[in-house]
Amino acid sequence: MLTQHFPALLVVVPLMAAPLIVFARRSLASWLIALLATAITFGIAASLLAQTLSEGTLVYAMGSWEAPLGIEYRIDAAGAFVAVIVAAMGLIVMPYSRVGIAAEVRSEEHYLYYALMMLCLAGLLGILVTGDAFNVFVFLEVSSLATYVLIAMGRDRRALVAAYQYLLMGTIGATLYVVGVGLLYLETGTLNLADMATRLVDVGDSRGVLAALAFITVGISLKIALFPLHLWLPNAYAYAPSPVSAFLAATATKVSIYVLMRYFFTIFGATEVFDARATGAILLGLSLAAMFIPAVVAIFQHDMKRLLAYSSVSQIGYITLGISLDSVEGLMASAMHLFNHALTKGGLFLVLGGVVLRCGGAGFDRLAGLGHTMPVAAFAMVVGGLSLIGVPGTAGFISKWYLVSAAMHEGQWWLVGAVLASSLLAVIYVWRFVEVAYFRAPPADHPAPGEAPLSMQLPALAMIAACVYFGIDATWSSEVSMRVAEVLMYNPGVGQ
Amino acid sequence: MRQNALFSPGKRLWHTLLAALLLMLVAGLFVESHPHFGIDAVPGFNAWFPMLACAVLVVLARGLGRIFGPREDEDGR
Amino acid sequence: MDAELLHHPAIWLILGGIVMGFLRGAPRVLLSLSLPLVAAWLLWQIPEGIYGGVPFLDYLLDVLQVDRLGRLFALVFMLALFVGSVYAMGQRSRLEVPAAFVYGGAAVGAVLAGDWITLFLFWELMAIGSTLVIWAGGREAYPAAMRYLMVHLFGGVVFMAGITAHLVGGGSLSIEPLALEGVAHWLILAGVLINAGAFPFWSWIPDAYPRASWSGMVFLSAFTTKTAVYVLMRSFPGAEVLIPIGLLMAGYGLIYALIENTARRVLAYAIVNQVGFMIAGIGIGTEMALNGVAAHAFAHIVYKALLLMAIGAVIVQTGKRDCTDLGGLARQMPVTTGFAIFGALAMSAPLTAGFITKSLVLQAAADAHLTWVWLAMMVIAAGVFLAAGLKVVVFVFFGESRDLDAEEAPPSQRWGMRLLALTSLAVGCYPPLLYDLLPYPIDYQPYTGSHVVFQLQLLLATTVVFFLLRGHLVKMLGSLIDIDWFYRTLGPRWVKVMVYGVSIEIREVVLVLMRGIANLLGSLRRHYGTRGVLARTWPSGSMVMWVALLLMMYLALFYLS
Repeated sequence: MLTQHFPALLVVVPLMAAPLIVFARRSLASWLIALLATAITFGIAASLLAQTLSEGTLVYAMGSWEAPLGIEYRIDAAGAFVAVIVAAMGLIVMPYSRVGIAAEVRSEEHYLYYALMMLCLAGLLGILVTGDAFNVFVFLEVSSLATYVLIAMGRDRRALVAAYQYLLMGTIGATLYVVGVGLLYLETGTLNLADMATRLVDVGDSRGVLAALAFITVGISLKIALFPLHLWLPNAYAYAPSPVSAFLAATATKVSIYVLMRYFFTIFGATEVFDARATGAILLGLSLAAMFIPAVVAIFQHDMKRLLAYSSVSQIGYITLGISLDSVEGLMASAMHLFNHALTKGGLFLVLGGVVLRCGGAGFDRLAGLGHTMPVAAFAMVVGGLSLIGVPGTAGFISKWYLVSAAMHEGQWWLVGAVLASSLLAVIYVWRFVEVAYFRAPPADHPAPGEAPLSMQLPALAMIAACVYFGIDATWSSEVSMRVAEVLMYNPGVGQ
Repeated sequence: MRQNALFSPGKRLWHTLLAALLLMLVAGLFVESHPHFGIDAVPGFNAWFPMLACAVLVVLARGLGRIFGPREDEDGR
Repeated sequence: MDAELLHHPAIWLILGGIVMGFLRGAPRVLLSLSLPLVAAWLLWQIPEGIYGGVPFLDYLLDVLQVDRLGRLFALVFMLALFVGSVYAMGQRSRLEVPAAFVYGGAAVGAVLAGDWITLFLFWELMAIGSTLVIWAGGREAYPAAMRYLMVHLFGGVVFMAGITAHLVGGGSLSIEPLALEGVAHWLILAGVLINAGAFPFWSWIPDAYPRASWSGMVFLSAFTTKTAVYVLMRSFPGAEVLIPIGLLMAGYGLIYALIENTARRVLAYAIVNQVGFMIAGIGIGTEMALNGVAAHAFAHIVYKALLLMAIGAVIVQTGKRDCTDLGGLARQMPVTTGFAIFGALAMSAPLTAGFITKSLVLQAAADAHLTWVWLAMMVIAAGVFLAAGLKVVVFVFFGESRDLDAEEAPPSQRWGMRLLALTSLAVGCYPPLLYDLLPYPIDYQPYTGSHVVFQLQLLLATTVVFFLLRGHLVKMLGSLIDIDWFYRTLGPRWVKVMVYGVSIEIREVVLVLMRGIANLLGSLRRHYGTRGVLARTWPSGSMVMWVALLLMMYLALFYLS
């Protein structure tokens, strides 16, 4: 049966597509291969999610070598949920890329762009599906290396610096992570995540385990761009080619958050890291700082891409806040916002890509009068902005509601206030766009006005429409998020 | 600030107004009323009380206007 | 999901409003005139009851609840939409009327909501719709629109926190009277009061409404505050704290209306005043009082819209907004002047709607033997007639002519005013028209000899006082510093006013404080601005420092704890 190989195929398909694309070399051919590969990947991810929701955890032994000897792929509802987000974003970005990169990437490099996107996709999905701690590191590096190059492809010369900084920070993060894994290996003698979780119960919280937790947390926090380790993110998003910004904004940080959730709840879950140690308290403090400080910074930006990037850092704070509550409700709100924010921010960056193509930049001086020159795009941005604020009828509201409810379940009134106050900051930075787009006259040298080409507009509008759809009918997203939270909380890999 | 030209009610209007008020005051003595508090049983309560109240309000507003006003910003428009 | 939801008038109004946004000219006018009538017909077809079954956020929502109270408010809102559309036929803005329908439709949805979540959803939609209506007022309205939106989103956030707390704490989903115990209910009350324009959030009404276009404020005056009144009637009837809150609003509205120079701001303050009167009535909480509040909400919408229409017509003709710039228009605009006089009388004169509604609330206060409340309400009734009625009408339409270029209002505007005047007259002459729609059975005869005579005494006496004190009223025309000054311009001028006449030492201290605040703002900009420390592209070295710091922190905390 082919279906039983799905966990492996999820990674293998995009991984194999990359060399194929390099062989094909022609822009159109490589695009077609990439499109086909992402479509297949998305199909696999969707069926995996359906399977894990109905049957529970799927285990796949690589090369039929059983764990702990061989490397094991292990995917449950949580992993599959994030995998669907990643694969879906890949599928949406691909048709968009054809025109989207034409203006931003040199044509002889197009095949490289597609090949790297495939590698990035394979890496991200690999992290989600693997059941091996070191394997996570490998895939993390695969996706990160691809990302560095993708960012450097931006036509702005500052893209190089941004990519270089991200490379430095990403490498440090990965190194910290690997140090942590090494320490865990010393303590438990296994790299298999499920095994590790079982054995950690016996080891207890020795100094080695605690050090491992610290290293892994900080390493992954860097990848998440958790405040104050977010400094690489605004530049990376701002100078990367538009489709890359959109893809990264919706996926890269989300996968890292998944890894953090895994380690906190599945691996260390049985050792009471949250109760006995300050992990939760530190994360709470950082989340609160993330919700406010980058949001204020976003208000003062003069470039829409940077504004959205800082808003991302701020929104990540909501997700980690849910994690820090250490409850099923909190985790559910986190999972929910992970999905909803991927939709919102992905959609916003996609719309912005079309705008950048027409206006020649995302600076507010270029965007002036957008409401008249590109009414559809400007309106889509406003809808996406409403979702960032969390206005009812958009996906953002659903997340906000569950996060506030979760904080109330814990009796944390002041957190409720913090979440709601932070959403008012979002009003201000979204209003800045409204002001520029609707209240200012377009620049005199504005290039040919008109909406973005359909191949860019349709995926972007589809994402924004999804934002509204999941804001009205949140049945599916809330049910799956609940399952994800339960899997993470109550199913710490033990006793499979 | 420019002064609004005063609207001065003519003699006829004044007379009509005062006559009507007087008529109502007299009528008030004959209609059947249901006073609730005592003070509203005083003849002509509904005439002298609002008069007094309005005068106090105007004086109060004038005083506040001296302290807090005038406000000179775009809101003046 | 119940099939009746397809007939939900709010949904049709909102969808129609969106469609209207793509139309112009005659089709838009036709749609805007027919839609409120269709909505009213739809509402009339739905029997009383609760319809819902819409799944949202782990709950099954009762989206539509038809009962006497909700239906009365919904019908009044539809009337306001209809008459407003007639009046706004000549409105050139393509945004305003469609936005007003989304706004009004959301208000109808809110008063027909069967549960807290549906109510909140429509509540937020109202905030957005009304912001767009203000926004359509033109460039000067933009900053006010933003301030308005922030106040309402803040109110929405407080309201939402209250609702979630109420639900998480096991409270019922349906909108029932709340006991005002615990944080949740206080938050709900605060959220609603912000929309009602209570202290200290009242200045958004005079700040934002008068900046809307000539027709925009007619729509704005009807929905937001009355929806808040409705929610208070539903959830906090008889909450005694509402009496002082309402009377404070009423007093504030009166004083500020007396001083204000801009005609429509006077009327905006009068809105705060009358909403305060209604809120105090809710605080009394007897069936008589609640009937009176519901009825007075109707009468107030009618006469306030009529006055706003008359002033709107003046603004269109002259482009002037201040009492000091206007005067003597009665000769050029006799019909408009007539309607304005009727609007002033409709506040409380016999044979108009105001007479048969205001007396209900006063009677309720008397029946409950609340002497001071009753006296305060008498003052309010007299004062608002003087400040918003006599003052506006006399200063704008009478007095020395200013040689203003003005013609009589066009037919569409005249029809808008005529319809409102007829409504008020019809209800005033035949009270059962309104009384039969009230939430509770009513046994009250407004037209007794004493009621009529005493009311006429009050009106005539107030008029006499007005003419006696008109000199003072003219001299103090201006604008007062309001609460919004605190959050808008904590400027040197304010400080100067506050410390005026105080000793030099205190003034020095204040100056030092001011300098401190200025420095703080400057450093805020230094840190957060584009070139700020927190936004600058940091050298990689400092990023690594942060990593090291965080790692140390984790390790230290882990080992120490």
